[in-house]
Formats: sequence, C-alpha cells, structure tokens
Amino acid sequence: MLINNELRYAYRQPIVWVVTIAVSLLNTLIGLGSLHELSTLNELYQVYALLQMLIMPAAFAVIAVTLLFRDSTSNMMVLIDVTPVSFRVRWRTRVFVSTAILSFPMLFGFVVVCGVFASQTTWLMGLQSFFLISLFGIVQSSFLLILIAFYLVKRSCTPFTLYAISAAEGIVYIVIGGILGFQFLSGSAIVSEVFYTFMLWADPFGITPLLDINVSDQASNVPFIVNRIVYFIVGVLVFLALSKVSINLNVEHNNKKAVKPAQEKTRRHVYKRLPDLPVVHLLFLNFKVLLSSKLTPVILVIWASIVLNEALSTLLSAQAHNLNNSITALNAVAWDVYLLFTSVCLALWSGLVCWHTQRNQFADVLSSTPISNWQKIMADMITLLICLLVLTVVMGVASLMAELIAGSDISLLHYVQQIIFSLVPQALLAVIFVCIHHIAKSVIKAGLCIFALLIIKFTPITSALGITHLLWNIAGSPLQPASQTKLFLESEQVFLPFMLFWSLVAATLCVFAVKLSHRGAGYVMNKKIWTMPAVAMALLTLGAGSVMHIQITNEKPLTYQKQRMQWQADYEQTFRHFADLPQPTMTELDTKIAFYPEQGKAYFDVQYTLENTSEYPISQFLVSRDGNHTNWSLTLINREGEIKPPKLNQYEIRLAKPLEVGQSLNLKVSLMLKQVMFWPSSEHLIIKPKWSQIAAQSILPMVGYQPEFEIQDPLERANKGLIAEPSQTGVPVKAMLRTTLSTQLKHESQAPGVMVKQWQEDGRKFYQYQTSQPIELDVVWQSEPRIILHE
Amino acid sequence: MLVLTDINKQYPDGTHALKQINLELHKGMVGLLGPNGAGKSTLMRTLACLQAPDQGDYAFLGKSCLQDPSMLRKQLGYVPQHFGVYPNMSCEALLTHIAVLKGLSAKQYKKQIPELLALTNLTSVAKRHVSTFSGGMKQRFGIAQALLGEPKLLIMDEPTSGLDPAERERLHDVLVEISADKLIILSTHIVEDIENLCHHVAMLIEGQIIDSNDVETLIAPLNNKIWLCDTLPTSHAQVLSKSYKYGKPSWRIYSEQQPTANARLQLAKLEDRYFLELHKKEARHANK
Repeated sequence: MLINNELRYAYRQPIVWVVTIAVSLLNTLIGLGSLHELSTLNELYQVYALLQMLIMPAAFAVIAVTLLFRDSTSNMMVLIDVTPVSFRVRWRTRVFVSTAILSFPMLFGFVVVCGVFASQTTWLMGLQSFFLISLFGIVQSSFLLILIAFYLVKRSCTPFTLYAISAAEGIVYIVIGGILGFQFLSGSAIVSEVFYTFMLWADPFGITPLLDINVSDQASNVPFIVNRIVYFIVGVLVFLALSKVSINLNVEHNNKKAVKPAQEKTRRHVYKRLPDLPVVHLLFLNFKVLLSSKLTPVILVIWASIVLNEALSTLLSAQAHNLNNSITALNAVAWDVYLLFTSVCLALWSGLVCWHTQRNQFADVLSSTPISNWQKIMADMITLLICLLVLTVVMGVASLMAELIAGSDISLLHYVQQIIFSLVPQALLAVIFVCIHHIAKSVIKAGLCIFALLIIKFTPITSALGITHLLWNIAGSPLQPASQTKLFLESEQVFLPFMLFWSLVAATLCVFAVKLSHRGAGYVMNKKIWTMPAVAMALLTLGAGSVMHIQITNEKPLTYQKQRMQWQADYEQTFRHFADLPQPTMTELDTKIAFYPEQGKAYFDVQYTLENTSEYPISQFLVSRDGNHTNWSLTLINREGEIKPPKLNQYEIRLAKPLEVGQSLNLKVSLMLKQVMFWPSSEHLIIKPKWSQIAAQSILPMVGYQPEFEIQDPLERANKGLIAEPSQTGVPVKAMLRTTLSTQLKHESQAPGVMVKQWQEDGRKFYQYQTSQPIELDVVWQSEPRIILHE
Repeated sequence: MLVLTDINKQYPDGTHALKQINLELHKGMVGLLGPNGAGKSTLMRTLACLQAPDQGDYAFLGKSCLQDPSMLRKQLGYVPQHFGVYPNMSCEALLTHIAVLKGLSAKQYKKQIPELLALTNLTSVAKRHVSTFSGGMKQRFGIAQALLGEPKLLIMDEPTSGLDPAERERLHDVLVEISADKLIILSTHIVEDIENLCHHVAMLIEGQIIDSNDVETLIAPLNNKIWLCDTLPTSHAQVLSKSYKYGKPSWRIYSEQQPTANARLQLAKLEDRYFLELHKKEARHANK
C-alpha cells in the first residue's frame, strides 16, 4: 500500500512523466540511430554505456529532487514525520520506488532496441545476456545513485548540491572514459594500465569491465560479475546504515553556530563599504550565495585538477613528437572539457543565482523594491560572467603549471588568443541562461529548457534525427583547435560571424527578459510583450539566422550527411554507365590561376588536353566534379559537340564527330573559388592574405566516371538500393602540368614543376611553372607573403 | 491523559528553549499561552515526537512516548505553525496520501476524507491543487489532515496565525466541535482565542511554565484589581496594557487601590494575567 501511495504521488508530478517519456524516447532514438543489423554486441554495450553516462545523471537529478527532496522543498517534513510510518519503512519505500522510476525509462530504450534486433538469430544468446546485463547494470546503477540522493537528504543538503553532484558524475565519467579508452569517446586511450585494471574491478557502474575488449563472452566476465556483486552488497549495507537513524528536523537550530564578534564586525564593515548602487548590492548578494555554498571551492579545485591532469598527460605524450608546447596543452582542454565543464557550471550557478531569493522566501520582498528588471538581470549576468572568468583563468593557470612541469615551450600570446576564443562563446551562453531563468516562471521549466539546450549542443541527437546544422551549436562556432603550424588560420574566419549572430540572439533574449522578468517571485507584471524594440530585435534575429542558413548552405550545398549520401547515390545511379564507356584521358593541363588573397578568391582557367587512349572511338564523355563545388563552366575548343546542362554538378558532353583512337581534343574549364566564411577551411582550399593553398584533386573537374564519389558503406548502399559492391578505383591520372600563377605583389607563389619564368604586370606578380614529365594530380598551388617564405 | 515530567531542551547555539516543564493535561481544549520565543513551538515539536528532549519524559495514556514514539503517532494529529504542501496534488489526493502514511485502510480513509472535507468546508475544492489554496484554506486543510485517523491527541501550533476574523471564527467552530473526546493542545499568543476556547491554560514564558490551571483560577488573583484609565497614572501602579478606541488611548492598570480619579474598575481577563507575567519577566531582566 505504501508503494502504491508512493507511485501515486510520483506519477502526479508532471516532471516525472516528462522525464520518463523523454528519456525513453531519447534512449530508443539514439539506440536505434547508432546501431544497425550488422552491429556487434560490443557496439551495443558501448551505446548502453554512452546513454548511461550522458542521460542517466540528468534523469537522476530530476527524479531524485522530485521524489526524495520533496519534503524539504515543499516544507512538508513535519507533517510527514509525525505519521506513524517509521523512518526506515518510509525511506525503504521511497528508495525502492525512486530506483524503479529511474530505471524504467533507461530500460525501456534497451528493451526496444533488443526487440528490433532479436530477429537476428545469431544474436539471441547475446541479446539475452545483454538484457540481463542492462538489468544489473541499469537497475544497480540507479540504486547507487538514489542512495547518493538519500545520503544528501539525510545531510539536509539542498537540491543544488544534488544537481552539482550529478553533473560532476557525468563529467567525471566522461573524462575517466577518455583515459580508459572507451571506444565511443573520440580521442580516448588507455593512459594508465594500473588505473585501467583498478577500474575493471572498482568501477561503481560496471562500465569499464563491460566494455573490456579482452572479453568475448560476458557470461565469463569475472571482473564484471564480481564488481556487480560487491557493489550490490555495498549498496545494501549503505542503505541499511542510512535508514537506521532519522533526519533531525531541527536543522536550523542545530546548524546555527554562535557568530563570533570579529565575524559580525567584518560583515557590517563589508556592507558599509559597498557603493549605494542597487546592482552592486545585488551582485554582493549573488556572490554571498555562491561563496556560501561549500561546493563552489570544491568545483574550482576539481576543475584545476582536471585541467592539470589533461594538459600534463597530453604534454608528456607529445614530448616524443617534439610537440610539447602551449598549443598542445591548451588543445587538450579548451575544446571539449572546458566547454562541457563550464557549460554545466554555468547552468548550475545560473539556477543558484537567479532563484536564491525565491529559495529563501525573500523574492516577494525584493521584487517589490524599485530595482528595475534590467538591474536584476545585469547583476545576475555579471555574476555569471565573473564566475566564467574565474574558471577560464583557472584553466589558464593550471595549463601553465602543467607546461612548467613538463618543461614545454610556453607561448603567452597563444594563451591570450585561446582564452578569447573560449571565453566569448561561453559568455554568450551565460547570458542566454540568465535570460531563460528570468523568462521562465519556475526553476523547473528554466532547468528543463537549459538541459534541452545542453543536450542539443553536446550530444549527437540532431545527427541522430538527421537535422545536422552548424547553428545547433548554441552560442558556439565551428572554430577548430589551433594547428601546430598555422594556429587558427584555417578556421578563424568563422568566429566573428557566428559570435555576431549569437550576440544578436542574446541581445534579443535580453530584451524579452527585461520585458517578461518575474524578478524572482514568479509573477509577471508586464503583459505587453510585443513592443517595437522587441519586434525589431526578433525580426532582426530571424533575418540574421535566415541569412546565416542561406550562406552556410550556399558555401557547402551538401551541408548535411544525408544530403551528401543522397547526392552520392544519385550520382552513381545517374552516371554509373559511363564507367563502362570509353573515356578520354587527360594528358596535359594548362592552368592559369589568379590568386586574390585579400578578397579571398581565386580564378581558374584550365585547358585540358584529352586524348583517346582507348581502343574505341569516343562519342560521349563525362566531366565530374564534387557536388560541393558548383559555379563552373566548360567549353570545347576546336571541336563541335553538345554540352548538356549540368546535372548533379556534372557535365555530359556528346561530340558531333567521335574522337578516334589516338586523337585529342581541348576542353576549357573556368571556375572561381571563394574562401568559405561560415565553415572551417580545409587544407585543400584556403585563400587568405596570410596563406593560400589550393589542392588540385579537391577542386579540379576530372574526366570520366569517378568511383571516389560512390558510397562505400555497404549498409548505406543497401538502404539506397545500390548494388552491393562499390566500383573499384582506377589508376591515378598522370598529366603534364603547366601553371601560370598570378598573385599580389607582396606574395610569392609555388606550383608543381620547375619555375621557368616570373614577371610583373599590371601591379601583380606572375610565375610560370612546368613539369618535365606527367605527374599525378595530387598537387597544390600556394601563395604566401614573401617574408614567411624567406624565413 | 498527557503527563510531562521535567522536560528540558537546549539547542546547540545555546538557546535554552524548555526548562523543567511539568504538566498534567486532561481531555478537552488546553491552551499554551506565551510570547514569541517562549518555547511553545519547541514544546509542540517535542510532544509530536519530532525531536527528543535533552532530559525528562512524557507519557500519553500512561505509556512513555520516548520509549515508543510510534504509539503516540498513531493517535496524534499535528498542525505545525508553518507547513508547505506537495505540488501537483489535489486536496483529496494529498489527504489520501497522508491517510495511507497514517496507516488507514482504504475503507477507513474513503469514509473519513469526505467527512473531514465537509467539517473543514473544503468539499467544493476537493479536486483543486492544495498549492493554490489561500492561507485560510490551507490552515483548514492542515486541520483536516491532522484529524485523519481520529486521533486522541491533537497538537495545533498557532493555528489561527494569518487568518482573517471570519476564518478564525470558522476554525473555532471546528475546534469546539471536535474537542469533546480529545485532548487538544492549542498553542498561540492570541489570548482571546485561549480565553474563549480553552478550559485549562498553561503559561509559558522563557521556556518555563509560570502557571498552569483553569482560566478562572489563573484570573482569580487579579479580581478587583484591574482598572481602566484614560490618563497614564503617575503612581507606581503596574500598567498592564495600552489600547485605543476611536484613536483615544486608554490603559489597563493593575493596582490594589484606584490609581487615578477617573479609573474604572474592570473585570479581570486572562490577558491581564498574561501581561502581568510578561511585565514581571521584564522586571527580572531589568534587575539583572
């Protein structure tokens, strides 16, 4: 009856339904999206581990606060404690029900995935063991997590502590997974065999022994079995110990210590010194709340340790390749750990800062004062920005320490650059979080919204749903880590446009937040939302977003993976017959390239000499180019023929008179290349004042059917209705190459072959290169400022 | 029915909340009267088995509550001074939830809940979320949940605080109706409530029971010694309280003789005894 009572309470809470449904759906979608008929059992376990590490901490936080912290958050402790149900019985029921509710949605996804693949009879035994492992893995992990929440309730901790611990658990596990070689985490490797062996036996959630690549049959996986049994016993013992003594309700009196006179004097002193500005006092209040939490220094210490550990281990590994420098050190932390850790901290701290007045039941009093919405929002934003700055400085200092220990080559300039590139996006994220907290009328709604943003930003969910887009990286940009030779050169152009866009989004949210802020009390005064500034900002943001989307798509027409796959399938289905037809061979290329690095453009005029080296006359041939590079044209020279309008970016040419064996014809191709502004440049195509490089094979049209454009993955080929085996790639094409390069006066250029001539004309420098024999076309053309070349 | 013996309670911050409390309480409505910070809530929480005293014991129907708190909880209804409610729970659902925790069977609570809703005039809002209730409705809900299981001991800590006069009157009606066969301990600083409802009163000041008796006995020492004056007397007569009528002040004075020429003799009230004890406490502090 008590269990029914508990379940009835739980399922009256909408948030429990939301978590149950959302987590079940997420698990199912990600599971089905990540796996296919040919997946191995090990890949199945990896998906299980990934979901447990990513989703379970968040689900646990919400369920635990709703079900286990409810007496304190709803101020019902007294009413419940006077009932005759003993403490032990009550908490046994709550722990049991909470574990069941947390396990159910996690298990649901796996049951569905198991069901989908159970038709594979060779899998049946493995699936049975997988299901059992999920049961002991998931149910047991849920039990352990619920025990942590129970302990926190007994210690009279606030929900914030639980949120922080669950976030830390998620992050720490991801970091640990990275150094334990979890295959689904990119860049992960076993850093220490000793630590790996330790975790095989001691991993509280049993993930490490489950993913052990040395184990073929889980039924004989001794570390896993022992691990689960030991943790089950430990869990039961801990539960029995925790449920022995009831919670002391007189928390306030018991925790109150006599204030020392010196402390009291200091407190009065600080208040007296503050300027009489509302924002300053609000800031002071915010920092008091943050600093009074015991978790804040713990978070900073943990963060410094993570950075030091990551940077140092990477630097020591890089010593062998002579790459221990600031770039290596900062790349180890700034692009994944920093983003994730600071995002989670900002999410937690924003909740703490924006809702503390309500938590202390002081919101009505504060919101009735004359402080404006803007002042309150500013104070909250400044608080978070300072916290972010602290985290970033800690990252910098810890990384420097790691470099000093490793004796690496320190570049402070790189630190400055990296800090700017790291800090700005996260600052925008902090602003967005504060706005959400001010607009949403309850902390739960705000939390869910922020959680959804973090899921979209950090998980592959949009890919799984087939809606990949650069703008899903909320407040981020596709800026790439610095390379050892070129630093940020290849992708720095994307930073400004994306940051401007997200700044506009943040500013628009600020306008709405000022209008709609509930000032901490949960009530909205202003019903008139759509004023001129709000409408203007909203339209501007929508417009900017549309322009960004169009530009992103124009620069890379095959933006999405699915689009690319479809183009490849269409290419094969439309043009594969050309593979069986004789095609002319390129023998000579006369390339005229005009570099305009300041404008980010390069113009190509390429004259192809094509010879019929086959045994048959050629009446039609195909000129192929990658679907992402549009905007090109071709003409036949001294030859009559029909050039069909391009289809899928390919040109079909039908000759009026067939090209006989041994005969040649000339084809002229004109194309323009532009530096991408919204995508990181690849090393094959970059046109910038500091450095320009174009790789022939990535941009030049090629004659004949190109097997490289086909889909290679057998499952995808089957999905698209293509024949099982892709075409064999042919022999690489070789041709004589003559290049006439022009660039700006301050640059020097390089091309394949020997330079035969250089001159100046019309304010530009010209170079002519010639190869002495036919070469493969994996060549590059470059243009760089003169001073770099001389160095 | 309820016997308290040498109850002492001191908090870690040095507050000595209860000092040698000895009381013997019988069926009916008993008032616990004292100013803010007197220790009333501490005593209520102790009696409700929410916290253990440092020393002493208390027995209900002859059985020690410290040794077997669950025995008392099965017969206890408690309305704390401040309490919250679970979100997203209707009045009926939350009463059911608490009824189950109190060990009532489905048959029992399905009978009792409608009766209690009717008694506390909450039938029309039975399906509404309790978190949307007004202050008065929430207090009535508090009483309804306390009466689940037909408790023999009802502890009510400041039940009328924050209620408007109409709600207070409604609450009084409910309390009188249910007090026939129960011990109801009513803790409040509103003297009028105690005087109107309770037959027995214990006065608690600074953690000590100053006096515990029926109302008439408590008032008796003040008979024929309470005066109402329109001007403040200059003599050493004890001023008990000051009040206003149509903006004009008047003073209630404790004096053996007529303190001023215009002083009028009044019937002693419990409030007079209460203020007299408060003044005695202030005098003790002044002498220290």
